[in-house]
Amino acid sequence: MIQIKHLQKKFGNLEVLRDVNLNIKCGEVISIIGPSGTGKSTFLRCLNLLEQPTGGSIVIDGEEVLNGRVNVSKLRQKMGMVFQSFNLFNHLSVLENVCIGPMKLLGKSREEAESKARELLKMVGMAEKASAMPDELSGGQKQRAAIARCLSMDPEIILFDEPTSALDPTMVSEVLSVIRALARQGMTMAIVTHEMSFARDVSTRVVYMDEGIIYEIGTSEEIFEHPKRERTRVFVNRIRDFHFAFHSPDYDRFLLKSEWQAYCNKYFLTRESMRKAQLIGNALFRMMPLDKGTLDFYFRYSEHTREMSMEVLLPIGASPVNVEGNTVIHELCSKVECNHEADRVKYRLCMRHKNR
Amino acid sequence: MLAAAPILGSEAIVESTQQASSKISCFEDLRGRVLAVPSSTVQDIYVEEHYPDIKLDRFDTEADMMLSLQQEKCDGAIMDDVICYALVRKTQGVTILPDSPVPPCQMGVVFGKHNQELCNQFNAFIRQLKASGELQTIMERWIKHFDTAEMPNLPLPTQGEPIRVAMEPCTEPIVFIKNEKIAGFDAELIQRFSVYINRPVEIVEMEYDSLIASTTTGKADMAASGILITDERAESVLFSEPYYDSHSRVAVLTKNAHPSIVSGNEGEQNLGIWGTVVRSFYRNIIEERRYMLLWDGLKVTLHISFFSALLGTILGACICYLRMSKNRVLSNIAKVYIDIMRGTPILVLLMMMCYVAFTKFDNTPVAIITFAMNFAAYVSEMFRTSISSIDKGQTEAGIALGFTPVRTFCYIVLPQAIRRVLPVYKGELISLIKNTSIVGYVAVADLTRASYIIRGRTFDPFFPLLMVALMYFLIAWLFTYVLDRIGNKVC
Repeated sequence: MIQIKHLQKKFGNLEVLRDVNLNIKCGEVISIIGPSGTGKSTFLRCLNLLEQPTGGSIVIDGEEVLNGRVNVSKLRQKMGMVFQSFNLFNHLSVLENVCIGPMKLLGKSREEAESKARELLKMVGMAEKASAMPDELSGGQKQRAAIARCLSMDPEIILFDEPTSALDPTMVSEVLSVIRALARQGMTMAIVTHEMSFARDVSTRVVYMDEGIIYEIGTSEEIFEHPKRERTRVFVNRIRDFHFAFHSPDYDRFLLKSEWQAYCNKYFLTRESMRKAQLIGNALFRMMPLDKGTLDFYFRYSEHTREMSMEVLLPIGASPVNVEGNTVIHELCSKVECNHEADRVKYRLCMRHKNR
Repeated sequence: MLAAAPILGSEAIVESTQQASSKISCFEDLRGRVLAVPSSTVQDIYVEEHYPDIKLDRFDTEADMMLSLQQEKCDGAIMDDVICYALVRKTQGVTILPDSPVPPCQMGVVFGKHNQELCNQFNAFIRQLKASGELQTIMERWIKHFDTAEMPNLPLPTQGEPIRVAMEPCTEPIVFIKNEKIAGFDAELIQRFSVYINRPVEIVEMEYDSLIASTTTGKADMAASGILITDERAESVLFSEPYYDSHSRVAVLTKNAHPSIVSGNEGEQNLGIWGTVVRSFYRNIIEERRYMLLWDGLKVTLHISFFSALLGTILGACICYLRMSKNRVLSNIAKVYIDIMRGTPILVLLMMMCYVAFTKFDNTPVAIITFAMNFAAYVSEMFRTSISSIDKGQTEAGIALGFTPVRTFCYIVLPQAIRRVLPVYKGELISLIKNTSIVGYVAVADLTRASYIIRGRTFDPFFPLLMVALMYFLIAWLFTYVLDRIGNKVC
């Protein structure tokens, strides 16, 4: 249905989309996830040409849309969009919001448009609010009305641009369940979202975007359970890194301590976890050759799985150390791996999970 | 006059003697006091030069001077004798001083420098009138019996190229409006001249200040309204031979005048407040069908207001479009235009448009264009701020729904912008309507001008001003009412 090849978008010198390739088939529900500022929304807005791409091609139903010969307004009528900030027309009632498209663009009569609009409003649970003005509605209600407005044009695909990001947590589910219902009906959709569990449930495919490209794409299971690439893994598991570089045996203990404290506070590590991590750390640092050059220490915590691990990169040329032999480490870690990265020895220690 | 009421007997004696000595019996007594003068006239210049200890209050019309005198804001009012006699006869409690230091001045008719031929013809005409003694008769009729004097019934020529004569019909008995027609000795002279050279006359009414300028800019061929001949004026225009020697006279309040110069007892019957109001209303509005003057002025004001608002709104929309354009050049052009228009006094702009830029055109359309240009500058900024205050998401949603950018603007942005701009737009519209009251400066007879003309006859400020204020209020109310109705329909 839609083929996107080598899509590129620059804002001045800033290259937001570098090279995006994606095929969207009819009936697919594609979730687009990724860190902020990686061009997810821009990508979506390029699809209906709200942003003009600076390169590449978009072919819709066999027709190239970036050559300037296509009636863009006609195209957009078949391609609904739901915005983060709802963007209901403030001067029109809910019903008029849903009617204006069919009446002005599809040439439908008022009666026809209104009966269709009432049907759609019923579907999104907004029939009672048909005569309300947008500023009388809650965020969730506005977004549902906006979805009804989108559906009023009988689109072939709907683009959702972070539809729940501006909502109170209590209103997220009412909007998501409307989108779920649409997915069940076989509507083709592309959804930019930060709701990971929703994306996992509803998508036929999940796109992880980063660095201006589609970094990894696959089914929900592939992306969320078995991500192939490091960045994807870090993102879906919400892995938070703590890094400290030891340059000499006289490293700044107080700096290390205060940074570690700040890190623990930021990600709400439990006292227990902190204590264990400190014990392992102390044992580790004591046996490390700190005088041989720079040693890098990483602490990794996944907010998703709550798994904690540590990584130590020894100075260049330093010989391996018997980490496994340490009783404290043996006691507190479930797994210790040793391998070589370039010419540095790397230890990976997985901390035992509290519950296990 | 300003002395406090005496409290003790002994002081009362001192007061009364002081008062007696402070009574005015001749011009010299005005030293140290306030004198009303018609601004930049011979009187103004002479008194300022020779009596530096007299404080001068300058006015545009003699009627205003008389009002100031009656309200005791000044102690005397100096003006041409013909006007003074007429005014004093209409005003109660005013006496004329027997002397005046200002040397007599001669009245003449003004021509543009390029109009030597017409000037020669007029001179020949005046010489003929003087020789036959007719000039004397005409003058006496208007000056001595001005309240009964009528314009002669002359067979006025209708064929040929008309002579445009600039006049300010606010000064009795020189030129004034009587029974909705122009009258006065200057008016009669002009009519007789018209017959003499067998060309029709077209009277162009304007402010006194504009009279002389109008002959040089070509708005009029000649100007006559008791204009005094001075060397300064003669440098820029041609004067006809003088037809009247004007002496200055000073009017003072009778109660301040020394008894020796007050002639006769001019007691007036007391009508009571209600009676005074009714008489004033009758004199100002009903007599000589003066309401027709107001009605005609109202029509002109409505006409100017409506068309400048309409044109200004359209122009404002265009300026707003330029201002919001992505093209830097267009946007800067609009910005400069707005800055210039907002930074220039509308009166100055109006004068420039009428007397510099479009001298060959009728003043009413030029005034409409001027007001429209000014209005456009203000409303374009209002339009711009209200349009840019509409969230960008609204436009995006419209475009994403499949509207073209233009239709998105019309269906989505414009209704919301109109709703936001309407309250400030209404305020600006009202201020435009009120601003149109300055068109009198460029000889357009609007509502305010009508009140001037009436006041010039009756010297009663109350009813003409009240009626005019009321009418402006009604126009403003009418316009905003219509605007509200339109606004409700649109959004």
